[in-house]
Amino acid sequence: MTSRDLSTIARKEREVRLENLKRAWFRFSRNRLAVAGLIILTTVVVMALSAEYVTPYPSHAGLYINFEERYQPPNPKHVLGTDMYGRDVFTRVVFGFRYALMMVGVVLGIVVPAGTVLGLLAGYYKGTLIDHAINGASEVFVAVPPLVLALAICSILEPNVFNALLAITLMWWPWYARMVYSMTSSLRNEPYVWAAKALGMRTVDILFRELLPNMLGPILTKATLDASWVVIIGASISFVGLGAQPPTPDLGTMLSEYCRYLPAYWWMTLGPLLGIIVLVLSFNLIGDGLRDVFAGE
Amino acid sequence: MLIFALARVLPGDPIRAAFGPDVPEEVVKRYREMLNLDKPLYLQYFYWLRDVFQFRLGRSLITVRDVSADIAEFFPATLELLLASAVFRIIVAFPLGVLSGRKPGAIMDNIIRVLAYIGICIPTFGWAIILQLIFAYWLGWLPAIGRISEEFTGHVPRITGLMTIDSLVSGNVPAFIDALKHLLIPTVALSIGGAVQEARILRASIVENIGRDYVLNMKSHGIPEKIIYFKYVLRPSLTAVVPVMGLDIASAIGNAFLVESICNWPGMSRYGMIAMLRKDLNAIVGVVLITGIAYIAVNTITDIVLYVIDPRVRLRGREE
Amino acid sequence: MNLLEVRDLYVKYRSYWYTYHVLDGITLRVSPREKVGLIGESGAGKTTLLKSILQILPPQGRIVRGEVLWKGVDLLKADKGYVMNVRRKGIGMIFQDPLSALNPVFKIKDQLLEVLRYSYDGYSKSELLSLAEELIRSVLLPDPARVLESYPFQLSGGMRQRVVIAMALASAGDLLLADEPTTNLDVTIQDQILRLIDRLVIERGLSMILVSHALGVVAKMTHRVYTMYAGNIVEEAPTPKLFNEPLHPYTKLLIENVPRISSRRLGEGIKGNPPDYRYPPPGCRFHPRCPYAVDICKKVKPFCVKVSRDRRVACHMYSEGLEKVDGDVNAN
Repeated sequence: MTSRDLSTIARKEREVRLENLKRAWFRFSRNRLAVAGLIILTTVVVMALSAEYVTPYPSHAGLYINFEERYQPPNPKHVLGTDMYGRDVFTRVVFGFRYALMMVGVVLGIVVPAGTVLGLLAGYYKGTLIDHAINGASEVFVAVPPLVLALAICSILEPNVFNALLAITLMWWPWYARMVYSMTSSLRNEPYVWAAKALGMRTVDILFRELLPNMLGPILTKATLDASWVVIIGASISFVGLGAQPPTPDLGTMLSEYCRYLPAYWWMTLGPLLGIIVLVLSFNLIGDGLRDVFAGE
Repeated sequence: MLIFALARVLPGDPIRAAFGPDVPEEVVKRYREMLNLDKPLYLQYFYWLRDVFQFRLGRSLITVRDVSADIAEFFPATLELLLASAVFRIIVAFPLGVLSGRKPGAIMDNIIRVLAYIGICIPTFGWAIILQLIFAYWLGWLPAIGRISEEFTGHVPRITGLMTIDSLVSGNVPAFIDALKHLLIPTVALSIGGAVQEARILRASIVENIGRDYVLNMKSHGIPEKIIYFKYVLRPSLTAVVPVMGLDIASAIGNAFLVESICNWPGMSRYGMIAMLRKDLNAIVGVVLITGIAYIAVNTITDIVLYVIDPRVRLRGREE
Repeated sequence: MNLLEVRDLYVKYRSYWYTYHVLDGITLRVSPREKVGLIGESGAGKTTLLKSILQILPPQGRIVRGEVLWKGVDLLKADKGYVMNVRRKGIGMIFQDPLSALNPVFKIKDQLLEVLRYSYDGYSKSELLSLAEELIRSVLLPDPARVLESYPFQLSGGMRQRVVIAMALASAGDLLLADEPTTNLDVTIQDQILRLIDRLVIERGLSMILVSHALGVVAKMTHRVYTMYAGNIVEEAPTPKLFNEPLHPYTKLLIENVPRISSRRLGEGIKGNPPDYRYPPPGCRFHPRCPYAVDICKKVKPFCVKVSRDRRVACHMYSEGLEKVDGDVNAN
C-alpha cells in the first residue's frame, strides 16, 4: 500500500466521520425535548459564567447581612425571595450553578478519560494481570453504595469542596471502567481488530483509533446522564454538611441551611431545589436525546 | 452451581467487601500515625479483620458503646425503611409500566413519561423536603419526623425490631397505624424517583417484546391479546426490570443516609451520618461495612429472584 | 375457488424517523392443496407478506390497503372473531428463526398447550396433552414428554424448528405458511426438515406457501413459484417453467447465481443491493441493478402482464401489446 492510498483512505474515513456527525446532529436536532435541554443547559452555563453581571445582587453570594430585608417571600425585587440574612436567593442559586457545573466538569473530566483508558486496557488484555488488577480494584469500590462511600471519604477527610470532588471522582471511575471493559471485551474479537493486529498496527493505535471510536456514543450518553448524578451526589454531600461549608453558595449547602426554616419560609428552600431540578432535567433531556441518536434507527 | 451463581452475581466477594470500606480507614490511620507508618498498616488491617469476624467493631465515641451494639439497635429501623421502599417500588412500578406499555403513545403513557422525568429530576432529599412540606406542614396528614408518636413509645414490644410488624404482631392496631403513617414520607421519598424510572424501563422492555417473533407467533395462533400481553409479553419483560430494580434498591441504601437524617428516622444510616459528622471512626467503618454487606445482600436477592423467574439463568447454572 | 388470494397489498413500516414502503402492491393466490414457492433475496418483503396475511405485523407495520381473501372473505375487513378463527384453525405459520419464535421463559408444554387450547375448543386438559404429545411425535421428535418439559434454549436448533412446525400444524387446518424454515439450521438437518414438512403437508392435505432462498428446494417441493423483488411480485409461473425458462431479468439472475457443487464455483450474487425502502427507485424498483434496463424502466412502473396461460411477469421487456392483469396498477 502506498502512502497515497493510505492518505486517501484517511481522507475517506474523515469524510465518513463528518457525515456521521452531521447525521447524528440532524437526528438530535429533530428531538424537541433534547434541544430544549440543550438550550436550558446553555443558558445555565452562560448565567453561571457571568454570574457577577447577570445577577441583581452579586455581593449576596457569600457573606452578607442585611437584616432589614430578610425572610422576604418572592417579589419583583427578589424573584425567589430572600434568606435569613437578607440575601437574594436567586443570586445565590445562580452562583450555586457555578459550583455544581465546576463539580460536573472536574469529576467527568477526570473520571471519563481515566475510566475509559483503564476499561480499554483491562478489556484488551482480558485474562491477564492487567485485567485482574483493574477489575479487582474496581470491585472494591463497587461493593458499597457509591453515595455511602463518598460520604465516608468526605467525613474522614476535611469537609470541603475539594475533598467532596476527590470522593466523587474516586467512587465514579469504576463504573466507566466496567462499561468500557465489557464493550471492549466484546469488540476485541471483531474482524477489524484482528485485521489491525495482523497488519502490525501499534496497540495504542488499535485501542484509540479502532476500538475507542466505536464506543464514543455510549460513553458520551453515559457521561451526560451521569452529569446529573454528579449534581445530585455533590448536592447530597454538601447537604449533609460534608462538602462545601456555608457561606459558600453551593446548592446543597444552601438547601441544608434553608430547610431548617421550613415550613414558614418555604421559598428559601424552593430556590436551590429548583436550581438542582433545572440542572438535572437539562442533563437528562440531552442524555436521552443522545441515547436515541446512538441507538440507531 | 451455587459457586457459579455467587461469583456471577456479587460485585466482589465478602473479603473484598470488607476491604473496600477499610480503604478510607487506612488513609486515616496513615494520617494519624504519621510517625510509625511502616509497621501497623497490614497488621492493623489484619487485627481489624479478625475483630470483624468476631463482631467487634470497636468502641463508638458518641454512644461509648461497642459499635456492633449500636448497629444492632439501629439497623432494624433502616431495614424496615428499605423493605417498605422495595414494596412501594413494586406496587408502583409494575402497574405503571404495564399500563403505559399496553398502549404506547396514549395519554396514560405520556402522563407516566412526564412523571418519570419529574421522578429523576428531584433528588431523594428533595422529595423528602417536598413531601414533608406538603403532607406534614401544610396538610398536616402525616407526621414529618420520627418513627412513632410519643404516646406509643415503650408500648410496642421489640420482637423483630420492625415497628410496624411488631405492633401488628402484638395486636396494637393504633400503634400500627401510627407507625405506618410515620413510615410513609421517608418511604415515598426514598423510592418514588426510582419507581417511576423502573416503570419506564418495564415499558420499554414491553414495547420491545411486543414486536418479537415469539409474540407474533403466539398471535398467529389466535390467542387472545390479553393472554399474550399479560403472560407472554410481561414475563420476559420482567427479567429486564428486576436487575435494574435490584440495583436501585441497593443504591437506596445510600440514599437512606439522607432520608433518615431529614426525617429523623432513628436508623443505622442516621447513626452513621451523625458518626460521620463527628468523625467517630469506628462507627463510620462499622456502618460502611454493614452497608456494604447489605448492598451485596440486595444484589444477591436480586439474583435469586432473577433465578426464579428466568429459567435461562436457572438451568444454565445447573449445566455449568 | 382460491383458498387464499392476496390482492394489491401495500404495507409500510414506520420508524421514528422514516417510513419504509415494504410491500408495493402484492397479488398472489393459493389453491387448495397447492404448494406455492416464494423466492427472492432477503429483505424482499417475503416475511412481511406472510405476516400481513395473518395481520400479525409488529407494531411499526401498517397495512395501507389491499385485500386478503380467505375462502372469499376479506380478512382485512372481516370482524375480529373471524380473523381469530382463521388464525386458530385455518392458517399455521412456521417462523424463520426457531429460537426467536419460542418464548424463552416458558416451557414448550405451556406454549404448545396454549396454542392447542384455542385451536381445539372443547377438549379437556388431558386430551390436549395427548394431542400435544402426538404432534411432537408427528414431527419425529423422540421422547415427547421430555421435549414438552423443556425450555426452548435446552433444545438444539433442529429440535426447536420441529417444535415450531408442530405448533404451526396445530392451527394449520388448510394452509401452512413456511417462512424459510431451514435458513437457521445446520445443512445436514435442512433436508430432513424440508422432507418432513413436505410429507406433513401432503398427509394432511394442506396448501403451503414456502418461502426460501434455497431454489433447489423450491424447485423440488412446489407446484408454482412467485419471484419477489423489493416488495413487488415480478414473476409468476409453474415451477418447472420458471426454472427452465425464467423471463424476468431478476429471476434469471437469481437462478444463474445458484451455487452449484458440480462447477465448484460459488455464485457471485447479483450486483448491487436491494433498494432503500425509504426512497424506493421510481419506475421499476429493479432498474438500478438490471442489466437490460432502458429509459422507460426508470420512469414507469411495469405492470403485470400475462405472457401465457399460466405465466405473469412485470417487466417492460414483455409488456408490449399485452393486457395488464390483476391488481398491479399504479406506481407507488
